[in-house]
Amino acid sequence: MRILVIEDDTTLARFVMKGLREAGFAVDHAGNGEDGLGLALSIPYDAAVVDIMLPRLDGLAVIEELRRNKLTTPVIVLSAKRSVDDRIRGLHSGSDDYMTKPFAFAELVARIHALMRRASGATEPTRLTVGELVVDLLARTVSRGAKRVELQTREFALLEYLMRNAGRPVSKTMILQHVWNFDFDPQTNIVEVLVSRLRTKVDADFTDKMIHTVRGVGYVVRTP
Amino acid sequence: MSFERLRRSTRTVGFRLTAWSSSFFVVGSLALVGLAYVVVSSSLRQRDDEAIVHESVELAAQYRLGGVSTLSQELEHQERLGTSEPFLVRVIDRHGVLVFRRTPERWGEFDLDHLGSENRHPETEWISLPARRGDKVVDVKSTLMPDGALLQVGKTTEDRAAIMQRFRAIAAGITIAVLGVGVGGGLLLTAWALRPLRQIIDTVRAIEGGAMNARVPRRQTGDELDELGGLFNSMLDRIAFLIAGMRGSLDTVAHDLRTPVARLRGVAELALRSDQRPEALQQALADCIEESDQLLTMLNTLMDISEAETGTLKLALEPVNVAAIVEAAVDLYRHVAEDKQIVVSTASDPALWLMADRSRLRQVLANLLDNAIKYTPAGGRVDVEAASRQNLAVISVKDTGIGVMAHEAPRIWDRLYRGAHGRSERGLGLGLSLVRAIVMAHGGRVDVSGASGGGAIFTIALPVPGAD
Repeated sequence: MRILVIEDDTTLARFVMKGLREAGFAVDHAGNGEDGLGLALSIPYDAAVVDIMLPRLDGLAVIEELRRNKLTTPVIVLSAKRSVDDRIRGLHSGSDDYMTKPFAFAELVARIHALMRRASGATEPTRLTVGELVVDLLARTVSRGAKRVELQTREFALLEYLMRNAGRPVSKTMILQHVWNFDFDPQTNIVEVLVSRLRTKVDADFTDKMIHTVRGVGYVVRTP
Repeated sequence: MSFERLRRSTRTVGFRLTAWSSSFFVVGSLALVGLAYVVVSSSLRQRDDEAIVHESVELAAQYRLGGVSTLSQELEHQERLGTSEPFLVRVIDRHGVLVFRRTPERWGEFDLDHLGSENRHPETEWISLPARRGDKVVDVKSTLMPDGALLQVGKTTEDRAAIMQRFRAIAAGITIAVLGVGVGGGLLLTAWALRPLRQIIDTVRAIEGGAMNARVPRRQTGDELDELGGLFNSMLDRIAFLIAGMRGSLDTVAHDLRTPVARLRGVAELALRSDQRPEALQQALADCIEESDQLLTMLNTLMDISEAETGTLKLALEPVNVAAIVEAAVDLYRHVAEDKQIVVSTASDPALWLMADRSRLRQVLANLLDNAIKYTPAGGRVDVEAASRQNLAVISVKDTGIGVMAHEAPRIWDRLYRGAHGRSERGLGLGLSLVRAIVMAHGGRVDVSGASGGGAIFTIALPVPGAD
């Protein structure tokens, strides 16, 4: 899995590249739009992370040029702008996702995985399994080992989301978006409350915990 | 005036307006004078011709009655009566011999021999004979008599020429007057018409020079330029309001961010100062991330509030079902309320629709619910109601919490204000400010009052489109 990062801020680029390498990706970097476009046109990348404000050629122009060349590489746009207009403009240029700076790195990784999954056209699984924890998406049932776990709708949605990203932490913002389709961060601990309910049902009776808190990042499901 | 300055002044709107308007005026007036000249001159000519024709017919009749002698008697008769204008009369017989001639005095200057005598082909013919000197002309009409003689009657254009000359003198005078009035009037008119524009330009210059409160003087005439001045002033007022709002929110943001930044810095400094265990350092780093996330949320919320307050927040208005929005917000807090053993009930009119920004309205309701649940003790209840009242959609959130003190009521919408009891609660203190700002950006209003059971009722009222 090879990813192209086009970002002119060297500190941010180094941080993103280091993180992506740790997440198991091969990473190339370009410090301006022209170099980035050259790389993207010559090497078949699995995904690209593109800043909007770039020297020489801006990020949106790079993406438009890629799409003109019939390249469908999934692209995530990074931007310091936050208004809805810019989001729409970003998505219109042919990018697949949009993140505002500053962002949680875990969220970037999760979004890249989601995009690559969509791009690969892999068939949707009907069953998610992490260790002894099994979620049946058709029957909408959950079991851990031999024990059946009864979940309410939102609890099920949260577990499904955590399981799809098994091993990769997901942030509070991402959970709010996926479970409630809510774009803002309400100040009350809505996510914490749902996670703690899920923990009671999934982990309470077991010594090996599967739902972990990654401080400053979010939550992750992984095998004990 | 230097050449460059002259060139510049010819480019001004005033100069061009004057030039165009006076040209139109002058050209139009001259065309009228010219037309009058043509009309007068042709009618005078027609009158002379008619007189010649009339005299010809009369003399021809006399000639037919008794030849040259009768003709001569008739002429003498006319002369005696003094009715006759001085006509030239000649009769040339069929052999080309001049048999009768009467020439008024002063006619010597015409070369009457040119009239000739051979010209007998047409029955009637007009001849114009110029004078030997000057520009006088005599018009002569020849009529062929039954006995083959040729009767010639003529008249000078002298009278006509005198009238036309007088006319030309008058026309020249008129033309000069017209030029003067045209150019002078054009100058005055453009100066008068462009004065409001000049005032707007002066105002802009003043503003450019730093006098931000300069305004265009109004004349209250209600015309377009006065209206433009008025619009210009209200635009300036609006800009001044926005600038003041932004300056204000910049101050607030800078002020409000100091505390969380200080906290963030404190955590990092503490971790650096002592030689800590790795776990403690990790803990401190996690704290830093949480603090910076909090800072970011706060920054975004402050930006939203000031954008909503200054009217620059972009609202994606669409038809929104109020009951659905209420349910979604309640659903978000369902587990939080359950954990706190608070019952949340809703009573919404399912047919109530609004034009609103769906996502922003959800944020408003979420913040109100957040607030209600936060300040309601375990075992309490929160009632959300949505109903239409006149042309408003009224959504109220009633809790059984600590309530709002009367003296606190106006202040709870302020940024970062927290009630005396609320200080221990988690939160930014921006929720209600955001609620108010978003509701007001939608053209609605917010209100808070005490509930009978001791809690608080927060009410938002939003206009319903087409309900009036």
